[in-house]
This record gives sequence, C-alpha cells and structure tokens, in this order.
Amino acid sequence: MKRVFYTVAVVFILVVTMAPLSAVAGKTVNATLKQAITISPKLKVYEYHYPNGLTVVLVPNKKAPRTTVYHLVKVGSLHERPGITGIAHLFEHMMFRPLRPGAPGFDDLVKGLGASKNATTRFASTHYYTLAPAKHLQRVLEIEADRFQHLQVTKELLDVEREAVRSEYSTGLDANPIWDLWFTIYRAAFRKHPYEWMITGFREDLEKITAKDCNEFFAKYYKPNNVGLFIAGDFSRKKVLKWISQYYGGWVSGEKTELPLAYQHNDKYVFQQGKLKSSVRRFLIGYRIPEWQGERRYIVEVANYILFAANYSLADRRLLFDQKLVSMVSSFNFDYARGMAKVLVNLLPATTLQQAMGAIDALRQDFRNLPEREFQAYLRQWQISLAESIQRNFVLVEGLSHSWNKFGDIKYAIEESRQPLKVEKGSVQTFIDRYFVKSNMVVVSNKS
Amino acid sequence: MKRLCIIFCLVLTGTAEAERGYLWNGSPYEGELDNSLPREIVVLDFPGGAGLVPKDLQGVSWIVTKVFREGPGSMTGDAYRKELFLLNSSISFQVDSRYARVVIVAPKESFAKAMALAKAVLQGPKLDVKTFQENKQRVLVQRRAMDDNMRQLIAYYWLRDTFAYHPEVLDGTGSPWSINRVTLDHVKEYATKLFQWQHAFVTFIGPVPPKIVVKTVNGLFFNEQTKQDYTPYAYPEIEIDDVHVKGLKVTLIDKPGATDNQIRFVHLLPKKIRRDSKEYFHLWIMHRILGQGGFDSRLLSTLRTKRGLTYSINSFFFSVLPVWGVATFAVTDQTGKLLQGIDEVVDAFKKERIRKQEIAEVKEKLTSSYKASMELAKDRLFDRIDYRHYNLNERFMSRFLKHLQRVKAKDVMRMAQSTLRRQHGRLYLMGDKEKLLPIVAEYGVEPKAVRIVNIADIQ
Repeated sequence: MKRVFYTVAVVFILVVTMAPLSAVAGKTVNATLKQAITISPKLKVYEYHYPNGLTVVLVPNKKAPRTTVYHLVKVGSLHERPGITGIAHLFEHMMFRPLRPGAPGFDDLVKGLGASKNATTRFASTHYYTLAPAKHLQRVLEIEADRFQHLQVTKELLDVEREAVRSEYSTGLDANPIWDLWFTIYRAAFRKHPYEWMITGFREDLEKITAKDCNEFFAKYYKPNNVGLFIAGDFSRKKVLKWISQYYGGWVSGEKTELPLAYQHNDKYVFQQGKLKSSVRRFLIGYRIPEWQGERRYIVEVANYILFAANYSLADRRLLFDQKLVSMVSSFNFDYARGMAKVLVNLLPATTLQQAMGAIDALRQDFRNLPEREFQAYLRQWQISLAESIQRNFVLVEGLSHSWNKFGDIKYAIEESRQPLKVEKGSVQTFIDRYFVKSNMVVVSNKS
Repeated sequence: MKRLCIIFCLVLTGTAEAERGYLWNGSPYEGELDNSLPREIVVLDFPGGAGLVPKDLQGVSWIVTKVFREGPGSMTGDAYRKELFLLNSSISFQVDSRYARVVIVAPKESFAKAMALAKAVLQGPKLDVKTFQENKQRVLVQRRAMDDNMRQLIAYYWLRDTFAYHPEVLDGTGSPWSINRVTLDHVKEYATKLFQWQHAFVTFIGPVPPKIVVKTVNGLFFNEQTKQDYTPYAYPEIEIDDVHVKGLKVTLIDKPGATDNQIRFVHLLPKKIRRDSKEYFHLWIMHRILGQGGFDSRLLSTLRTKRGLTYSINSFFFSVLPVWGVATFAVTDQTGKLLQGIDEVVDAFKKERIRKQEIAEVKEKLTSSYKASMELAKDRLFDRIDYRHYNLNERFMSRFLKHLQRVKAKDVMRMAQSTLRRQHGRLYLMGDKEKLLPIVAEYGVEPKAVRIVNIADIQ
C-alpha cells in the first residue's frame, strides 16, 4: 500500500468543473485540473489551466516555512533581436519599478508583508519569485497580478535603471575574466542567431533601448498563455484558485512565444581569445548542442552530467586526477546552458592547451569504456541529489517550473527524483559521438 | 494553545527528537533520525581550524584537505574515489576560521563502509612528496585564480587587514606567498593538529538510527578504555582595543587599468555583539533596514533604485567581530557620488526617527526568513553546531524570535548612534590608483593620507 502512495500517481482529468469562481468584469472563470501528482502521502502537486491560457501549479504544504509565489514567463534573450538585445533582462528590472508615475514600486508594496523577492532572466524564460508568510498570500497575488498586467515603463525610470545595469556590465564584463569568457564563447560559437548574445545583451544596445521598446515588449510577451504561476506553501487550494481567478482572470491572452529556429550547426572548430587578462591559464570549452524536448532531453542532460557535471565526472577523473593537467574542472548550471554544454578548466603551469584538449577529446572513449555498473551509479547519484534538494519548498517550485518550461511537463521534476532515469547508455553514446567532437568545439581563453 | 506553543517551539529549535550524549573519549554528540533524508549526514567538527595556523603558513590547511581528498595511504586515489562513488557516498574535508570539519554523506546501506573510509583517511593520509607537490600546485593555481575576481580579493584583504590577521579572520585561504612557504613537514604537522579529537564533537541526521551512528563512531575511533580527555576549545578572541584607532583610514588597492571600482566601507563597533545577546537584535534590525541586500533597504533603494549609481549595494556584520560595513562597486564616474551617497544614507539614518511600522515590517521579514533558514530538521540541527563553536547560550537561542519581537525603535536608534561612526572607519577601495585618487581627494581625504597597496603585496 505504501508503495502505491509513493508511486507517481499522475491523474489526468480532462475537465473538472469547479464551483464557478467570480472574476473581474463580472466574468466567471473556471480552472481546469490537468494533473495531480503525488510526491508523498502528505504532499501533492496540482496543475490547473485557466481559460486565458495561464498555467497554475499548486503545492499545498503545511510544513513550508513561507509561501513561494513564482512566475515563469516564457520569454528571454532568445526572443530579442539585434538593436534591442538585453531588453528581456532590462525589462525584468523594470518590473520592480512603480507601475505608473507616482505609484509605489513593487518593493514598497511588498515591504510590509515580510516578503523576499527577486528575479532572473535566462535564454528562454524570465523568473520572478516572492516568498512571503502564508497569511499574506492573497495580497501578494493581488500585487503580482497588477504588475504583470499593468506595468508602464517611463523614460525617467528606465534611465535610472539603465545606469544600474551599466554598473553590472562594468563589474562583470569589464572586470571579471570568467564573465569575459562566457560572453566571448557565445559570440564565437553562434552567428546570426540569438544565442550570439548573452542575457545582458550587447552593451551598445543597452544605450538604445527606449521606454517604448519596453512597453511593446511587455505588451507582446507578458501574456497569461506564456506564464506559469507556481505557488507552494500553507494554503487552501480552493481559496487560492478563487484569488487567482479574481486577480488574473481578466488578463487577456495574446501571441504565444516561440523559440527561434534551431541553430544550423556547421561543426566548425573555433578558438578565440577574450579581452581580459587572467592570473591563471583558463579556458572555457563549449560544444554546440541542439534543443531536445520530451523524453529525449534526458540524453542531452545525462551526457553533460557524466562528462562534466557529476561528482567524480569523467572530466574530473581524467583531467584532474589521472593526467593531473588542471587544478579545477567545473561545469555550468545546465539550465542556463541552452545551445551549449560548457566546461571551465584552469590549467596547471606545465600543461599545454593541446594536452588539455586531447584529454577532453578522450572523454568520448572513456564514456565508451564506462562499465554499465558505473553508468547506473551516475544515474543513481543524479536521482539522490535531486531527491535531497527538492525537500526545500523553493527548490521544489524551481524544479517544477524548469520542467514545465523546458520539457513541457511538470511531471519530469518529480519522476527524476523518485527513481533513476531510464536511459540507455547506447543512446547517450550516440549523442556524445555526434556532438562532443573537436569539430563541434568552441574554445575561448583569457587574453595572454 | 499550549499544544500550539509546543509545536512552534519544536519547529524553531528542533531539539525535541535530537539525541545527545558523549562518545567514549568524552566528546559530545547530537543527532536525529530522519527517514525523509535519502542519506545519513555525519559532521565531525574539530575546533581550532585555520586559526591554529600562523599567518605565514595560511594555505597549509587547504593543501591538507586536498591531500585528504586523495584517500588513505593504503589505497590508490582512484580506488578510493571510485569506491565512494559506487557507494553513492561522499567525504569532504573543510577548514574554516574556527574549525576543521569532516562531512560524511552516505545511504544507510553504505554508511559503515563510508565511515570506515573517513577513518582510514584521517588516521593514515597520503603524506608523500608526490601527493603533496601535486596538491600544492593545484591550490596555488586556484588561489591565483581568485586574484582575477576583484570582489573576492577585496573581501579577502579588508578583513585580514582591519583585524591584523587575527586567528578569528583566518579561514585557511592564504596568499600565494604563504602557500609557497608550505612544506611537506608543515602538511604532516597540520594534518594531525587540525583534526584532534580532544576538542571535537559530532552531529548527525538521517535514516541511520542514532544508536548505530554512535556505535560506529565509537567503534572506529575509540575503545572503551579510551581516556576521557575532551575539553571545550578556548577560541582566541579579538580584543577590542587592538582594532580601534581613531580617524578614518583609507586604503587603495591598486589595479592598473581597472574600470570597475570595488568599495568596502567598514565602521568599527565599540564592542563585539554576540548572537546570544539582546543587542544583537538591535544591530540585526539596523542592518536590515540599512542594507541587508534587500531591494527595500535604504542603501539599495536610495543609491541604486533612485539614483542608479550601482548595480548592487549591501551591508554586512559579524557576530564575533566588532564591525558593520557596506559592500558595493561602481564605474569610475559614479564612484565619488556613491561614496558621498553612502555617508548621506548612513547619516540620515542616525538622525531620522524610525517609524514603529517600519520596525514591525522588518521583524516580520526577519522572522519569515529565519523560519525559512530553519526549514528542514537538518537546518535546525546543524545551526546548533554554531552554538558550540561560538559558545552560545542555548536557552537564549531557543527564544531567538521572541527576543527579536521585543526590539523597539529606540533600541535600534541607540545602536545606530553608537556604532555608525565614520570617524572610526576603514575605507577600502580597489581599482586604478590614477583614477581613484582624485575621487578620494574630492571625497575629502588627502591623497598623501591614502595607503596604496599593490595587489602582488597582499598576504
């Protein structure tokens, strides 16, 4: 019986008619339950869809120390065009500004609620979160719904924020050699594709973006059918659904965001230097990889994990311990790494770049020689670390939102933490042999 | 109501299910059964830490932890790492200012084997020339890499400089100079010295029953005849008189060509304020209102949100060091305005009355974030490790949030007036000397009064 509880119980219910809920402008809005997933006997995840396209994921959790309200908008730097690169990130900043001249800013509004808040912009999404005591949930939703529907960017406020972002450029791009590598590698790897620029955009574009551009960007992309609202904490589902209906029900749907066409891989080896000097010989190495959706996405992530990201990864084994070529090998958060798997290495004084590249190239063969037992151990390690991390209310919400956005279904976040992934080593090998090859490699170094 | 109170207390202190006792050598332990965790976490704490190492050998503890990562002398490094990997376990070694620590993480079924491996490393690490040289080289490269990050480097320097490299501020990182001085003999000496059971204590949580954990630790490290020689460690503390020199002191760390400038403005407090004292809450609320990183803090809302002078500005304080400070950065043409702005915000805070409403809002926020930081049983248990390292009053700490609620606006004002003292400040700037000196002059400090430090000379 216990096992039944712990088995992922995904219940698809086509339409669950709920009690009519009041909404703005006298409309009645019904939420449709798409699925309910059991995490543990006392913890379930519910996914609802509203008629305006808004996806709502609720995780009632009496043990949560505070309630997480997390909005994921499916727009990021990949939706920008040359001339206004960086607008997704700049606009994210503007979301904390007053909704209209003279009004209080978002910070002032949530100040009295004991709330913490922040946001991040990524390639294909922008994430906003507010963490507040459960008793203030209704008010938080009211304030959030207001800014997501009614923000007006003015020139005066934009100019002030532009200065702050200039400072961000300066401390990152102008002063930190690792940021320099990160920016250089995308520009070197991708041409005439939105992967070419990083999330903060080109500096020259920052000066050009106008309040009108921001308002058009908002009007085009900040639509309920591009938004996932994730709430986890101590609350009554019925009440929360009613509040969402009340505050978000009148939000009119719009154009659905689409990712740009996949990058046309030309498999050309690229080497480039950044503009900053470094105290050590440091290289960022990337492999351009395609976007894979659904079940196949595991193959991409497992390949990156075993080669570079895992504790005791194949790169650790060969470069750090066996051949003793580097002082450090580190992988980047794969969630941020759309379009490219990357690994950062600091070379030891006696190591040549050719030696390091040769060792990295040999990882393909290392993977081929990896015994099935060890392959399975990596999958188990992945599962356990996920299971440990999603015990935290906020991390669970982040995992669900990531799964929904990148892979189209929240269920993957739960499944991955429950049992080791069902991935064949042969499929991963095929992927590695195709993409983790020197001809597909982009290498950048700091200025020598 | 009483039941509610009990539940509330349990949530906040997490002590109800913890099992406490003493190992065969007299070391205290504390642990819990938590079946929601996939793996057992055992923390062996050895007080003293990098504070035991002299300034000119800082870095030895970093090398020791790297050497320990190679496993016991009886196994090859590869065999050791592979065994841990296949056991789904990890053993990590850390050294910080007050402790050396071993953390063993293992599923129930691998627990005994992982613990035995930890013991093997602690009692017989690879202390040969080759392992030492390889790991010293790695540490040196990693430390040099830190010099690229201005934010890390200024944080490294101001703390050590302000407190004259007192053991309390030495965390084992070291400078390239001190790392270069480390020999194999030093590593041998500190591999033992840093991990002495005489002052150690053990904390654990996870799916392994506490009795089994205690039995395992006792069985591996002691026997029933082991002499009970445990004594709590007496940490050397900073004497307040040693750090107070009247007058604002300005130090400029020169990085030729830099366009970004890092700023640390440190106000020295007239005394240390412990985490288990009522004044801590006055300082905490003052810190929260002024600049604890939140968008609604006064420093950020004024200097970033309203004036756009920087991307980030926050304040910091330490419960064992007499200091409250501001950390920020700016492009050159904004640096002068930012320095003036910090003073304006701080001065205004000392003069203006704090509204009761503002205090109430801050209390709510701190309560909320404190509860979030204690979300899981392991958070609450591991927080208690600090009680021992910092000799905190357990009874006081169990009423932590109650003390917070008692703070009044006048307490915070009193704290601000006695602690925010620019005239007892240390201003650290990092950037291009040529560009920064005129800015400092405009700020009111004669260039000749500015101490210039070359990055290469930082120890």
